[in-house]
Amino acid sequence: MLGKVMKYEFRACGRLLLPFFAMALILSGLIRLAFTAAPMVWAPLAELLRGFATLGGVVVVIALVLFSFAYVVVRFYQSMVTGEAYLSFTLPVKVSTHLTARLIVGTVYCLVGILLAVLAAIIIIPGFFAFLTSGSIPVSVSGASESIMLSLADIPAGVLWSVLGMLAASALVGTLCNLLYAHVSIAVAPVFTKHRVIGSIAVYLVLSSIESILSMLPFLPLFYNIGPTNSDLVNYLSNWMTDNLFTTMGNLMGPAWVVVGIGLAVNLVFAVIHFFLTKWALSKKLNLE
Amino acid sequence: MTNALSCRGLSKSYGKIGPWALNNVNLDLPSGQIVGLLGPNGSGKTTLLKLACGLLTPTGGTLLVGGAAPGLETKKRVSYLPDRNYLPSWMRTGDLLDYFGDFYTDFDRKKAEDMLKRLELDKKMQLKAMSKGTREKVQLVLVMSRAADLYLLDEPIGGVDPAARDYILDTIISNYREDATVVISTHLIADVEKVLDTVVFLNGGKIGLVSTTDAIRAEQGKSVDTLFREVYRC
Repeated sequence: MLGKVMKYEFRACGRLLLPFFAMALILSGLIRLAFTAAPMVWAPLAELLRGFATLGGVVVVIALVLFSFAYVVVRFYQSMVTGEAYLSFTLPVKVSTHLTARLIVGTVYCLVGILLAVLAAIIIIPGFFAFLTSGSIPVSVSGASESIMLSLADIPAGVLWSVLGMLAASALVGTLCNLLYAHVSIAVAPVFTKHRVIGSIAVYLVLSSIESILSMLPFLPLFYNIGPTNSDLVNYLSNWMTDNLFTTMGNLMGPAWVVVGIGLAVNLVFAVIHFFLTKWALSKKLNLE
Repeated sequence: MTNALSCRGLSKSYGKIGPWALNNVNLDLPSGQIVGLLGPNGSGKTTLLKLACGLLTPTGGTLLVGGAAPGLETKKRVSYLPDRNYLPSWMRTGDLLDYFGDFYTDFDRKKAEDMLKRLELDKKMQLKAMSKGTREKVQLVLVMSRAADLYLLDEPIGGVDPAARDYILDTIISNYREDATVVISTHLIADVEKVLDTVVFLNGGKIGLVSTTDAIRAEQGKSVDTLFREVYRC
């Protein structure tokens, strides 16, 4: 049944998100064209064009990430709480199957959104693609684009891959956790109140406050001189502040992975709790209006 | 023989302390009958059907569908028509046939296609492009194309014109499995009483009467509609 629920959820989300992704990429290409055309037009107009193109580029990249997330959350709300929930909950499908299917589909679309945001940035920033493929900064590149590429070129390859690994792990775990945060907020709110949207926001705020405090607990040893990692981390951080950033970054990767790893593990624990809370609310406390 | 639907002390309140949508309901509906769940608006008809489908959680008491509490197994055997549009409006009728075929093993696609053909509905037509009445007919076609043990139909003739009511009642009568139970909730009693075997009067969340239509006519010399109007006169 999981595959069947996923099939229809992929279609339901895709009917809006796939055209949106295509539009965003087309828009990225147009923005890039604007950057390319800017030097060929009258100088004051060129500045205006660059300004709009920069703004447009930022909006496209952010929208790809945020809209994907927002839409899969809206789909969850539609299919699990409002009118379509009558269909979902009369199907011979376990609640956990519904939740797993929506979590997998939502995560896939959100990660595609993030990857396309990176792709859009590569398309939009002039010379960035050439820089990534050849490793050298094209002569035509100047200004902010050149600064970004110079910074990236200074980072040792090992550090760069480590940072990329951290970002990928954070994107995956972060997406899962944020979706489950949204699911639990939407599912648990009706247990306490008839005001579903306000209730969902309230549940989110209460849960995030409690969990923010709890998630600090694993890091207490680092700050109160307990455990073996404290002195190492402080030393690395002081080096980072005083010495050359990129030569010490390689040494920082180990402790950074520990810190990021603990953070991700804590978030995953909360995510599992959120999943079971959502399942409890939708199976034991379901009350569709 | 196991009852199609059985309630013991069943209560449902939407608030912490009431009002009660259903209040201490005790009811047994035997299998193989067409039952009219009759009552004015707000009498608890929809609540009872939603509880039977597992869409609501009871405040108190128990409800069994074919001897089992509402859950995964009962959902395989219950075909439910809600009193609202519950199908995704972007779907085409062809998609909906696939959807029901994928999830319900008792769904008879051929029967559904034949009924849609009689309605002259194109399988490529999206639900959102249909009129309210046509959407309701599509929903009914899908629900009645299942060979279920229990059909729960919430206001199937509410909000449609008299000609459409006839179509809907004909569709119900000619398509349900003969040993199955059909529960039709409505306040339009005159339209449905000709097809009913048993009636349940519900008002203010309480059972007022459970009787066969033949017994009402024989013992009281009245139609169900007339009796209902007398009992629940405002």
